Amino acid sequence: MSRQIIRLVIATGVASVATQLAVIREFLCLFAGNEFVIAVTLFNWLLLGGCGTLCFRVIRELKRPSLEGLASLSLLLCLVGGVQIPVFRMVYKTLFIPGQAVGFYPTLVFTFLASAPYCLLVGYLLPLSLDLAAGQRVSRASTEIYMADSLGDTLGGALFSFALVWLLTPVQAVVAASMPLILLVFMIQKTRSARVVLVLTMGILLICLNQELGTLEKAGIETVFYKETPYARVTVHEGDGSRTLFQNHIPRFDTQNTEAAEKIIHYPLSQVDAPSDVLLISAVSGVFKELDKYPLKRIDYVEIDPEVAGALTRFGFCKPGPQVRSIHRDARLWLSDTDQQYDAVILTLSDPDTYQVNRFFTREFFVGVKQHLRRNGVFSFSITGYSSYPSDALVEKASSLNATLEGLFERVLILPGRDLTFLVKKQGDLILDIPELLEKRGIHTIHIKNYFHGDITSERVAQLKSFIKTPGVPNLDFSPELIRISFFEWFSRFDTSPKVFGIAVGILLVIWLGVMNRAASVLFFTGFFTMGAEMMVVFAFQIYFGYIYVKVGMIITLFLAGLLPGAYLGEKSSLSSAEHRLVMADICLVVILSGFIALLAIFPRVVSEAAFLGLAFGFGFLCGFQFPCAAKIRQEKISGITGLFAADLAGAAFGILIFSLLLVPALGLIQAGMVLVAVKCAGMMRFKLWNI
Amino acid sequence: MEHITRRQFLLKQAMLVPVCLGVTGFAGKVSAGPEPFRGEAPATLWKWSKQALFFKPLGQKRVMCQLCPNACVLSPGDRSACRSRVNMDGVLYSLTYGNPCAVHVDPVEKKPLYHFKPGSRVFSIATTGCNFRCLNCQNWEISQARPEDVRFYEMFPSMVAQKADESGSVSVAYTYSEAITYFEYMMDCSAEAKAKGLSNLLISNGFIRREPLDDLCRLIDAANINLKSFSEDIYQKLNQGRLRPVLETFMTLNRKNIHFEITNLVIPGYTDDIEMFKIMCGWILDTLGDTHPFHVLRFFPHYRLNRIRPTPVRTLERFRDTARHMGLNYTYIGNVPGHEGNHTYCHGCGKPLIRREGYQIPEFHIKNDSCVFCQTRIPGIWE
Repeated sequence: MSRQIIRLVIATGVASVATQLAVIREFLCLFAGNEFVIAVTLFNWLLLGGCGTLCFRVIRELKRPSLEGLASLSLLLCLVGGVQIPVFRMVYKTLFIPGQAVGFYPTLVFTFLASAPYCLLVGYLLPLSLDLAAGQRVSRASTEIYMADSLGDTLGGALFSFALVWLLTPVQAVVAASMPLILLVFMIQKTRSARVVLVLTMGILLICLNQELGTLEKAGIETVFYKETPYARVTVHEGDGSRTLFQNHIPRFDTQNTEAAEKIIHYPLSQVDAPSDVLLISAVSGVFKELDKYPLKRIDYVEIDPEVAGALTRFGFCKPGPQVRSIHRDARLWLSDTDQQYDAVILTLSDPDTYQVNRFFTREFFVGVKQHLRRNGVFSFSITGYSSYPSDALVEKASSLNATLEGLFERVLILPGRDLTFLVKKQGDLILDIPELLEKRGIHTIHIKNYFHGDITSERVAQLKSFIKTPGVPNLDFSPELIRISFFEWFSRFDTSPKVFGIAVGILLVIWLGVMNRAASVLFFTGFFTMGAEMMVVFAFQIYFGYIYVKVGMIITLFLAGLLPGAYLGEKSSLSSAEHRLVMADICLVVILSGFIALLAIFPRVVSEAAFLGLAFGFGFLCGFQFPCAAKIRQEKISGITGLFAADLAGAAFGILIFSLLLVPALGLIQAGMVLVAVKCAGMMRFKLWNI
Repeated sequence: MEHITRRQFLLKQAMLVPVCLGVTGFAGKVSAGPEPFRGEAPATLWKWSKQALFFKPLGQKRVMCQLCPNACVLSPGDRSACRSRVNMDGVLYSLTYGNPCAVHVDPVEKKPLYHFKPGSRVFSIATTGCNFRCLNCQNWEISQARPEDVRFYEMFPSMVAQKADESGSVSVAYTYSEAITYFEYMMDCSAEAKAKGLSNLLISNGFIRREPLDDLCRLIDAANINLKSFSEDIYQKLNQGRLRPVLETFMTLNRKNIHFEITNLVIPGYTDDIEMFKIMCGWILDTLGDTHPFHVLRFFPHYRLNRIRPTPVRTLERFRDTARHMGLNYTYIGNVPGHEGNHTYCHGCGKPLIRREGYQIPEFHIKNDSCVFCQTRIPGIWE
């Protein structure tokens, strides 16, 4: 029986982690695709998991657990997992106005309610498995279950990140990851009625698979291309003679949007006498047609997602000429590797309101751009601007970007309008009368020629300049000022404030801390610390090595993989008391993170790729090590172990939320890391002083 | 028994959750119109605050704003739905007087007004505030803000007229946010501008009550009214507004012989229904006649409505053809640079009278309000 339970726990781990990743991606499509949504989703997920675990305490008194019961609930888990994504889409369409962006609070409520059935069930299954497996060996069994769960999580994470996401649609991925669990249930359930339920479940899952594409947002027109890539959901819709490419349901490219291409290309290139080499980071529809108006020798076009680049060409958004070299890499990484010099570097990414994109708007990136610009070279980028009045948030963003560029480039010109365009030059003047520059060169445009002087008057340029605050706060890799501003702007756009949520989380945190026992508090703080540290490792890795989906997936997988040997060693080790081992592991965690912070702050370039991977494993290892030690302190009761599981999950929930939403935007990465260290030390003190 | 739709039912259920959690902000979609802000008036009035021209005391110091059909009922300390008006001790005040937050000089074509002094410059001002909640608002930074939350200029009506004159503008436009919400300021500015020989242009959603509009009509020379759709449901859904009062505004302007142009934004999935468009055109023809320029605008994703694709140009062309075929001779396509639907063609001889290249007018063939080729009278104010 015990072996069967262990297998079930592993299979549940595989299914639940793959489902979790698929659901996060789905929420990123349905709601704002930023890290705040990821943090909120994970917070809900982990917290509900913790609540599910705690629910077991109550339900256990009412109903005696059985293996068949566990199998039935496991089957229910598979069913909920497969059904939920199509249901999310349908409920979303019913509740919200199609095409409308959804604000923070509706996102929070929706993701909370939508995640609840699956998460409560996952959380409930863990102590139920433990109860069945334990017999009289509660402490040891808890470690075995913990290890099995960690193994399942590791396998699920790896399976999704390295295979499923590349090959399957979200529902297909969830069903595929649930198959081992369904198979195990089939082997356990011997009765006829149970087999019938199983067949019915399979039938419902098949219907979900069949209907999956039908539940996608269609924009009322024909979908001619649909692909789930590791970076986003990419769709191309066609209707009434135009095509639009959507990434995560946001329209990014439109075949009839000629205005954007003109601005993006001619604003910077008009400032260079004889441009020959251009670096284009991402694109918009029609850019190559505008680039063709210059006698260029080389165009390096960097687009991280090859599916997007392929769709742009295939569906007529852009037609790259022979001088175009397509590079499917992280642009920042490309820039750090190449020796090529350019006359113009043109950045056309979306707004820097995610950590991912923000990396291209920091001083460190701008330094890299400068190194690759020729003497009279120009660099340009845009953020969303304004029609008649720049909001305070926009002024802050512009001031920050201005401060970030200052000192690096001799000339900075900010053009007002619905896009705020920054033109910067290493040397030489920047001329505002762009239509005249283009006319002198005989370059024909429609929009710039006819609209520029009505939209970008010298009065508007001067007015915007007068709003720019000096000195502004520069946007740095480790201190992402633009993310902080974007966070508050996001709320103001929906006429809400983060205060209510902050207070609610604060109250919840105080209550949780108040009801926890001594051993659970260590795991709570470890969960908090390691999840924050994990996010720190991921953010820092991306800053240095670019957004490489496989490698980011590897970091997370290594963290999960570290839990397993950690838990094993924690269980086997008998060198000292469990309490002493807990404290030692705590000290190790603090020392390792402190060392990492010091390295980042003092010798940032020393940290290698392998170090990041090792760090992720190390944090996982120590986190895993602590669980059996804590379990030994609370060895007498199942309810105590249940509290440990719940504390671990809840700590992780608060950790990811507070670190991503509060600490990094407010303090920057390094300082946020220091707060993590301080929190862990406070947790350690709390543990040591508990009995005094 | 009251009938509710599936969506309404689900929404009501979903509403319970944020209420239970003490969370606000989820309910924006379900209210019939924007609600006043209870207890959100500032402690003291701003130095230039001016008593509102249109309000009705209701007893116990409550007042009802009589400016727009929202008819906000405000207790002392409350703020109107447009965020610009407050009840202070039983008197309604406008907080925006003398403090525009956006001041620019624009080409008149940008408003858009195609049959009003083409190629002229317009001194354009706005304060904060709007009586709608459009999900695609281009100026949400000020339309959905309170007067005290923005950077503003000190610009009294006499100075507005003076600055407009100095800038070489021939008109003053009340635009960007919703001009109706700064009615008192607009009225005084218009009087000053008129005294200086400048025209006054109202750029608005047309959501105003009859009495204030009558007063305004004495001072304005032209208007562009945005007819957002021809469906109460869509008005409610996308704008938290109502269609009927807007149609009444059109009728009043028509009766008062004010030159006005109509804009209609074609939003895929919402206002791109050709049958609804035909009904709209039919109403315009039957009620207002065939002389009012009609702008069919291309939608771009913006503000909260950012998950919808831009309108295909072919859709706009079909709409324009339909409107022209039905008899709306001066139907234009907007937000599509370089499109032939930007030009003005004589409805008599079909020749191009005004060729527009963006904001520039390279060709102009109207003289004495008539086509220079066939002498057909062209509706508009041309000089």
